[in-house]
Amino acid sequence: MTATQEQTAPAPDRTGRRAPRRKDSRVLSAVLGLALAAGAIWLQSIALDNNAMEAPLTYVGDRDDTVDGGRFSVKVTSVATAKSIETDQETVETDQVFLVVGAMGTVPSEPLKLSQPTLLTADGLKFQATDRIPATSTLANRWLQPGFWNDGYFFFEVPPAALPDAKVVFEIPNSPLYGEPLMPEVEIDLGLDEATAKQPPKDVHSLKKSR
Amino acid sequence: MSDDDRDWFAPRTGRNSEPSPPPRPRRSPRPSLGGPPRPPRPPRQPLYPDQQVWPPVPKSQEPVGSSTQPLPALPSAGPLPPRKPPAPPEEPTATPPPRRRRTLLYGLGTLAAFLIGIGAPTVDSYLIFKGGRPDDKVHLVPPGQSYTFEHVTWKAAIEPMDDPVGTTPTGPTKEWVKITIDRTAVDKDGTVLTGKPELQVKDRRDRAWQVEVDDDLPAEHEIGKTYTMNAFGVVPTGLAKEVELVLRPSGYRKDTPTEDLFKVDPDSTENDDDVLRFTR
Repeated sequence: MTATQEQTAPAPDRTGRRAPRRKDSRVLSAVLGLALAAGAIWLQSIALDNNAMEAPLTYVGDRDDTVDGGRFSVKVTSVATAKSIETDQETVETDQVFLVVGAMGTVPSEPLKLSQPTLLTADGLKFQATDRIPATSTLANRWLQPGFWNDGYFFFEVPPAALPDAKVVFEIPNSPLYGEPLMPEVEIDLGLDEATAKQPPKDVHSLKKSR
Repeated sequence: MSDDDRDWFAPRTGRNSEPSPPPRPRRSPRPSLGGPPRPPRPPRQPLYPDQQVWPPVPKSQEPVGSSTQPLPALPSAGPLPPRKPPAPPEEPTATPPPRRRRTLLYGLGTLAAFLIGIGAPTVDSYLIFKGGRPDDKVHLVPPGQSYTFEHVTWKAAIEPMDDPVGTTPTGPTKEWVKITIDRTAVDKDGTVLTGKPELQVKDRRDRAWQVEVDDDLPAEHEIGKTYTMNAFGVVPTGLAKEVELVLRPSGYRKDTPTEDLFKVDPDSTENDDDVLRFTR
């Protein structure tokens, strides 16, 4: 009995000291676990979906600003509207309005060509640059190269109501086979408010003169 | 019923029935008696339970029947060595260090999980990215020399030139360069590898400029005969004497049958990773 007696002496002391601590830590663990679970669920709710993950990185700027998109820089230098556009071959007319965006671009190291840009209207509509003007007449046909700026025009055929607060989004082509996940894009506010958008468009915008 | 008659694990019925051995300070709380009746055992010498005599056990700490160990002490074993003094200091010293160690472990584990969680997809994406864009194998060509790469000998020279007739003036910020490229087929394969090479000029900071090839070579090549093509590019002013031509020979063979043009040969070791850099 000696053995048992010696052990019974410290036993109540130990359990008495430990019991409340264990209760506290259990409550703490439960709270911590709930907090972690709640945090995990919250994180899931703000996780980006596939479309957002594949979306390009957007660099934003205003007209006449040099907007650096990392692999290329773009500057919108002029914005005009016209009822018809005179190219080297023919004169293209529209019953909507042609938006003529004059832009220049350069790159830090690797030469590249811009894709045809997209017009983003105030109410979220997107307009692709028009294909009625051949792409060879646009800035998309010129190499942007390091050390100097190359300029040119992009053309959109849009209804006049799309003009106020419209923005142009410039992108560069991605490799179709090994596409990169985070391509840069540059979004430039054209600075067209209601008043400037209502100004009557020019009759003819000639590419012969500007070239 | 006496203490000696009952089983070891049988509950105790009462203390009164215990035999009274020589007077002791206190009776041991022996696992108790009673329980189901047992067949009588053969009489034997009375066996008295072990009793702690020294140090005296405080009465309050020893409730009767508090033992959780129903084994009786062996009378022949003698007194146990005292174990009380070393026991208490063990507890405080033993518990905190493992705790601290575990905190560190958790911290490291969290950090490792975080790094792996962020890093693994990143590395995976990078490998996919790199899989489509292998690094170029650059063959440096000493100044003014020719270089034979896979059936064709290449030689190049770059010189500044005036604005070509009919182009818009370049202005003060840029200037034209003219590149002369000589190609000579070394063997029969060289005569069919007539694809237009991809050209760029690069400066010392590895900035690159696009070059357009004016490719008006004859369709049929002869072995050992040199064909010259011209290329033109625009570089910032002052760089025309510095830039070097980077030439990526095309792997296209003129004798490829039309139906094989888009055939992918999985065993092919040919790729367009090789570039010739003509240093100046």
